[in-house]
Amino acid sequence: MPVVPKTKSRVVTLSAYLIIATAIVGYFVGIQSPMNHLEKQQASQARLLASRVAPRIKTSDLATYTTNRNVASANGSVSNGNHDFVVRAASYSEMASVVALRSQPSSISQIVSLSNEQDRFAVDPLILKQAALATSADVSISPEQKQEALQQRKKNRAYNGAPPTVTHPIDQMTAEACIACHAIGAKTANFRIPKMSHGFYTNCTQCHVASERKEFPSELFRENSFVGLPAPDGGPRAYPGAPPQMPHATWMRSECLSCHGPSSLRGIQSTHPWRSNCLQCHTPSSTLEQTQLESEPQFVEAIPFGQ
Amino acid sequence: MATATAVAAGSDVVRLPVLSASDVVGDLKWNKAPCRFCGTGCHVQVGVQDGKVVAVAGDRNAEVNKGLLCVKGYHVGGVLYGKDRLTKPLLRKGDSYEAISWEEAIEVIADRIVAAPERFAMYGSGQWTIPEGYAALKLMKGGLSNNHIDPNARLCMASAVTGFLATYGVDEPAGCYDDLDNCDVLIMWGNNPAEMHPVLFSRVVDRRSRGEKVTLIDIGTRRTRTTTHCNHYLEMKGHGDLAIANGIAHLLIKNKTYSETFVKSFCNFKAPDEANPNLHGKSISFDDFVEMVKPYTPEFVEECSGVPAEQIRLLGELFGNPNLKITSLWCMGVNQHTCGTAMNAMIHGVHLLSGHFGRPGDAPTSLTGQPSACGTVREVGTLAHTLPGGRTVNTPEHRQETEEIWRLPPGRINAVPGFHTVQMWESFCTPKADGGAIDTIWVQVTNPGQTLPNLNKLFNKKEGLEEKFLIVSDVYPTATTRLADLILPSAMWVEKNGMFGNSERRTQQWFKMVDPPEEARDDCWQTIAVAHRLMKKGVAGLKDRDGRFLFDVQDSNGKSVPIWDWNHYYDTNVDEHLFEEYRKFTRLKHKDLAPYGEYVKARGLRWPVVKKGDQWVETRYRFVSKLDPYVQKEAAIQFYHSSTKDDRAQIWFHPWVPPAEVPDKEYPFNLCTGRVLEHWHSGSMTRRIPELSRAMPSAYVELNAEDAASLGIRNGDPVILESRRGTLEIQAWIEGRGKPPKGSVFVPFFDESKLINNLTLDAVDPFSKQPDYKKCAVRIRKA
Repeated sequence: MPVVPKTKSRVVTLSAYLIIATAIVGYFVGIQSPMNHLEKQQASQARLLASRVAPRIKTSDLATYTTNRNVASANGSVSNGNHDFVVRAASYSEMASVVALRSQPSSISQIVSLSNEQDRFAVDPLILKQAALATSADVSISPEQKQEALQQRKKNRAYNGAPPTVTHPIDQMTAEACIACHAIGAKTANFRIPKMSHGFYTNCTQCHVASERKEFPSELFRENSFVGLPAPDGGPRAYPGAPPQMPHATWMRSECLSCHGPSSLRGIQSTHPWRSNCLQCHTPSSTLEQTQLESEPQFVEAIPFGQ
Repeated sequence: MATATAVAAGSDVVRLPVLSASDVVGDLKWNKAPCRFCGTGCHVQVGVQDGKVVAVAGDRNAEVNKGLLCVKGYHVGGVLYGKDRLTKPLLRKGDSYEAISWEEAIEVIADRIVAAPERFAMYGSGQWTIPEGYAALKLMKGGLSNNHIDPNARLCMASAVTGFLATYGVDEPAGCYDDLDNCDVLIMWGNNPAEMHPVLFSRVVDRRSRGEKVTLIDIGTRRTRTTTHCNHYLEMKGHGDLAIANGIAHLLIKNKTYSETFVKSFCNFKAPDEANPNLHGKSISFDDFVEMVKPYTPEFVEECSGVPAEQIRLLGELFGNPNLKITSLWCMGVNQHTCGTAMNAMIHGVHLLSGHFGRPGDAPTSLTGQPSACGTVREVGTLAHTLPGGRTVNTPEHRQETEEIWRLPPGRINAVPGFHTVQMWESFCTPKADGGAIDTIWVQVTNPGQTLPNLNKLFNKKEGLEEKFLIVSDVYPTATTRLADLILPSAMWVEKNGMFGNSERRTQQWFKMVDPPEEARDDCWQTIAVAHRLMKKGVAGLKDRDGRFLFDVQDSNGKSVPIWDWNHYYDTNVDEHLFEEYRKFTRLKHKDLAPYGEYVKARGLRWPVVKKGDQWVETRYRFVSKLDPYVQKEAAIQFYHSSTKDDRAQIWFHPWVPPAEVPDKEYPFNLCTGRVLEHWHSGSMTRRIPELSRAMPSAYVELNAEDAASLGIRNGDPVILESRRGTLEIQAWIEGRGKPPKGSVFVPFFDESKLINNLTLDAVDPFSKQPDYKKCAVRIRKA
């Protein structure tokens, strides 16, 4: 029998390894790959956690829509039809948790009820994951909830647009402590840690100072009657059902989800958190953005503003 | 998010659907103004609704701050609405005050002046707007032939002025804030910009977040927030900076890494003239200079400054590297220094010697603390010895030129400089019988009762001196109004028109947006009203040689507008009239200003602003060919105001000397005073803003942890600080905002209930007459 040349056997062995390796890699890539085709989605939408489970809503529903998870689950699972609600699980590996989620009454209430003194700082990875998945939850906000949120925000802001003061003790010297929590943001049982609403600035305490200093008497040096611009109830709409214009600048507020995301105050959360391309529908105000300011201020003769 | 990114980047390419402001939030109207506080000169957008300021936003069209502010700037709107605003003129009657009319108040001031015009003084500040300072200067020097006018800037940046004059022959920085965007190395000399100029500091440190490499070096006497951002911290003893600068020069020469071409082409050498101390000094050769810096080896510098020799070598290497771009920043650490003039000149000196000058990013840049320290004090010239546009009272041609522009009879302007700040207040606090030459001081826009050094000598002694009369124009009751005989309620910030000039030669303008409360009125109107009353009382100086009122303002028909009458003050834009007259002075020193209208359109313009075609163009870098319109030579650098008349700058040698007062057995600690992020200077404005007051309610003494342990002092304990001049009880803060080294303590001066200036020293720099608030000896004990 002819002796198989040594090199040939090596090639065969190597090819066998390659095929096995490709199969293994392929399996894991496949299980991580999106369940739905991406072409109808905004690319940015796909990137975000919030879009992992996203029912598609009929355009005719836009004016009055509230997202209803029951409808989504009733309609069952995956369909590409335009008229059906589609549950978007990001990958096959997450199918199991999506199915599990559907059988639970409310994942948000579950998170909130987990308040226990011992683990008030604990953030369970499972809870975080469920919170992300819960972006498909029915988010409807009452006017009372909105007012409550606005009042809450007002407590540590001099006016709408003022940098919030810090409601906890701060490190007097460095910014590392701020970054540790606020770079990402989180929500625990008892704490809400907002993610920075703006890009990264190094000198945090330049704008954000402590709301109070416990080691000093709390009374003010002198009283002040400044009344700050209140936060608007909402942006103006071109017609009923039109998406509201942003009632504030995007300057220093470029991270919409910092205030309107799932971990923000209930009353100002987005009603449609699975949509992440906010500026697609909500335009900024040119005045507030300072792109269309009065080009030349005017001297007003004979004492302006009455007298 | 592409739109958001473009918007956030400040691009105006993105055109958004135009909606009027009222569609968005009621009748809110936005308008531009520079911030009221520090010398950075950020622009803010002021939101006004129903005649009140209700919001503030960083102005994204402003080059200085590019939309960013600091916490003081964001809350600047609140300064107008403290509940204890002064709203009526108040005259002291015995132990209480009586509200009087403006008519009476003006009469009281005019009578005091008429009684003894030469014993009257005005004390203002770098918070005077340009027109306000100009009017006060014209009243004093043009109207009363009296040079006793000085600003609090004497306590703040007088040494920066003398440093610039001694080096370049003309005041103010050659570079600008753009250097902060271009430097590879930033050296901060006794400076804590993370708290005092946060917007500028962020401009540098945020470059790192964008992936750029900038080396930050802190040369300081205590660890601060700035230190935590720095690559190197050089902890020095007081006056160590003098030795460090000489040490750098020593190493540059020893290693032959100084720039021979730069020095040969553009520099001379100077040393102090011991026999006749002045800003010209005596000329020395390069070889003399080499001999003088020879003793300053890194080891000797370590001995004088406490900074390890290794770190001195590091500085020597950095300055010796021509490929690096080095910017130096400094403010009060160098200026409030009994060798402040020397130290300012020496920082310029190491930059010149090493050739780190004239390229964007290569600059010695002095910062100012007040919004118009440059615009009003240094450019208008509201100092005891100056006239507008860089002129001085003791130069005959300068007096003549000023008399010509003001149309005064020849000889009206007094040739003898008036009293500088410390002299003025010492004289005011000295009884007439004992030689006190000042009887009446009119204070505008400042708070000397808190900010003068050695208050017990320079301010508190006024109490009980019946023949002395203190007039204070202010917006709130302060440590100064407590001894005032007449208090005048002033309008402030956007309650009036105004112009400021910031640290980078940028002149800024804003319009009145809201009314001042009740009877509060513009400081400029107050000055003009008094001037008019003096004219009515027959004081000859208030008329020019044509018999017209010194502040005569005519409308477009050539008819005089009665601006001394408050009801007519805003019939015309008085600021514009005064500014257009002042502008004529600015050509002499090539600090050309554009017409008023150009500043209305801009977010400030950096002088010299020259006309090219039909455009007014600002200047970013002075003395550099192609960048500075007044550089004629093809050569790269031309110091066209050189004091040696040869287009060269002066590199100074000054020896190291110890501070005026050093710790000893009896008073073993060094006391340094300063500021904090949340409060601006004496705190009379910022302490009335709830957010700022809550964040920093009260002053404290920072102690080193080991010192505190050995004294048995714990965090929060009340302690007694004592100097040879005064005593203060204050709370201790250990491991807090700053960390002083062993043997030194720090106290901020913003708190009027804890007047640290009762303890500070009134020793001054011999040239600038600026006191040193950073070094004096104290002892500490538990209360």
